[in-house]
Amino acid sequence: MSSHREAPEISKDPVADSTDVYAFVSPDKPGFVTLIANYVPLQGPPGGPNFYEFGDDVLYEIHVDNDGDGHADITYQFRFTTRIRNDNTFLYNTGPILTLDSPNWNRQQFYTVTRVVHGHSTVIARDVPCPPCNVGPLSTPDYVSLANAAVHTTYGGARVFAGQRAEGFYVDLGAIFDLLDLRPFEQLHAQYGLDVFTKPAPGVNATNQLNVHSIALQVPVADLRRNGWNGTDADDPRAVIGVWTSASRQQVRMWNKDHGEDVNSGPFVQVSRLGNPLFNEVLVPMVRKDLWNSLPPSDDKLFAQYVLHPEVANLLPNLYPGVFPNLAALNASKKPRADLAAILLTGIPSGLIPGFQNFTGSTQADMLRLNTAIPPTAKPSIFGLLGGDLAGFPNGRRVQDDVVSIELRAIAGVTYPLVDDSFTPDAAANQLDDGVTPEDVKAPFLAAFPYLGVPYDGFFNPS
Amino acid sequence: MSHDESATAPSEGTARPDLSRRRLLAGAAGVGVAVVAGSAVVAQHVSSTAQPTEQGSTDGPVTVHVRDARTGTIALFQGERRVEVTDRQLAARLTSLARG
Repeated sequence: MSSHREAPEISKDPVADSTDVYAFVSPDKPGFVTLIANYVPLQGPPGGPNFYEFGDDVLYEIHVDNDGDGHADITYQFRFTTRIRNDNTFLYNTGPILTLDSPNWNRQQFYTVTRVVHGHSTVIARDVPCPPCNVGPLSTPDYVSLANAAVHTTYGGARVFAGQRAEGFYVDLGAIFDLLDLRPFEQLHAQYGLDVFTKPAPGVNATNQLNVHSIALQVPVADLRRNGWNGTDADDPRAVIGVWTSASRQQVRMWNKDHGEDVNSGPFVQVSRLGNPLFNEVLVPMVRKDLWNSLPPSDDKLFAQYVLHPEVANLLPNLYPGVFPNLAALNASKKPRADLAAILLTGIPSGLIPGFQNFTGSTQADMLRLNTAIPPTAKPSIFGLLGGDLAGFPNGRRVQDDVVSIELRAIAGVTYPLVDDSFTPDAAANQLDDGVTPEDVKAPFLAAFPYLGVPYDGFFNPS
Repeated sequence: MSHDESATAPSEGTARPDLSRRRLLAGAAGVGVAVVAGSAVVAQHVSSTAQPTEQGSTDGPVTVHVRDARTGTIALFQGERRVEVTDRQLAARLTSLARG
C-alpha cells in the first residue's frame, strides 16, 4: 500500500499509522494549496460500536520544508480530544445525528491546530469538532451536511477538516503482495513453475469500500513558501515546497490496570512518517523500516542506496522473464538510478522536463515536492508527469493520481532517459500498472475541499 | 530548521528539582511513582520536530527507566519531559527495590 501497515511496528498501531499524503494547488481555489494526511487505515465501515477515531494520545503533524534542508520550516500540529456525553450507554449514538452538537451523539472528537514557524507557535483553530463516522441511514441520515459543517475556516480564508473519508488510494494489494503478480500481465509472470495463470485479468482495488481518517488543510500558498514569496515563476526555487506527515507518541506508555487505560509520559517521539508514496513500503528493507519511521527526512541519505539500487527493479526482469531486457541490462551495469534519486530525494532540476522543476537542492530527503507556481491542469492525467501533466505526481500528489503505476513505471526504467538519453525503456515499462484506476473507487472524489469522497456507511458496506 | 528540544543529560546531583533524587527514592518505595527497570522501551531516535507546543503539566507520576544499572544511567519521565541522570548508587538501589 502507499504506506498502510508498511513497517512492522507501526502495523500494530493503526491510530498513528500514516497512510497517504497529498499536496496540490487547489484546482477550485486559486492561490491556495491543499495538504492532506491520512491515518487509521483499512477501516471496515460497520466497525461499531467503537467506531474509528484519531488518537487523543497521538501528536499528528504536517510539515513543510521550504528551503530544501529536509527540516520543517512550517509545521501544523493536530491534537485531538474525545468527549463522552452519556455514561450509561454502550452506543456510539442513541438516535439520529443531525448536527455536530447532536445530543444523540455519544462520543465526539474535537481538535486543535497549531501552526509552528521556526519554533514560534500560533493556535489557528481550537476545539473544532470532527464529524462522526458514517454509521448508516438511521444514525447519520444526512452525512454530507455533517461533513460540510465540519469544514472549519480559519485565518486568511484557510480551511481545516479532520474526520473520516472514503479511502482514495487504489491498489491491487492482493496481486502485488502475491510476489508482484500484476494481473493485467500475470500470464507473463514466471509463476515459479506453478502455471496458475494463462491469460490477463483485470485488477482488483483492495481498498475499495474502506474508509480512512483524514487531516486536511487548505492554506494560502504564500504561507508555505520561503519568506512568504508570492510570485508566479515556476523556475524560481522559492516556488517549491517539500511536504511530509508524521505521528508521534510519548516515549513511555504504561497500562494502568487500576483504571484500565494507558498512562503516557515523556517527550513525543516520532513513530510514523510519510512523504512520497511507497518510499518506506517498497524501497526500504523490512529490517530498517521502523528506523526510517523514527527519523526526519534530513536523515534520508541513510536510505539513498535503496533508491539508487531498488529491489523492485531487480525483481521485475526475474519475475517477468524476457519482458524487461533493457532494465535487466541497466541493473547488470550497476549504474545508480539517479532518475529515482531526483524524483524521490532531491526533486527534478530545471532542464530535464520542459517547463518543470521541483528541485530543492542536494540534501537527500524523502519529501513530496510541489512546485506551487505550476497551476492545476484543466484535464489532469492520472499518470501525472509521466502523462505529460506537470501538475501531477511527482509534482506533489493529487487524490486521483495513479502513484502505483507511476512509480512502477519509473522503477522499470521509464524515467531513466532523464539522466541517460542513450537508454531505451522496455516497451512493457510504459504499460506497467496493477490494473486499477480511480474508476475502481466506489465513492466519487469531490471537486472541492476536502476532495476525498464521502465515507462509506456501515449499513450498506460491504455490499 | 533544526531544533532538538529533548532534555539534556545533567550530571550526577544536578537533576531538576521536581525530579530530585529524594523524591525519586520516596516514589520508588511506593508513593505514586512507577518504576520500570530494564524493560521499558526507549526509542533510539528522537524527532527534532515532534514536540507539542502546548506543554503538558509537569505534575503527575514519574516513570523511571534504569537504562543501565552498571553505569548508573537512569531516564526519568514526567509529563512531556525526559531527563537522564547518571547515578550508580541510585540505579543499584532502584534495581534492588524492583527485585522486591
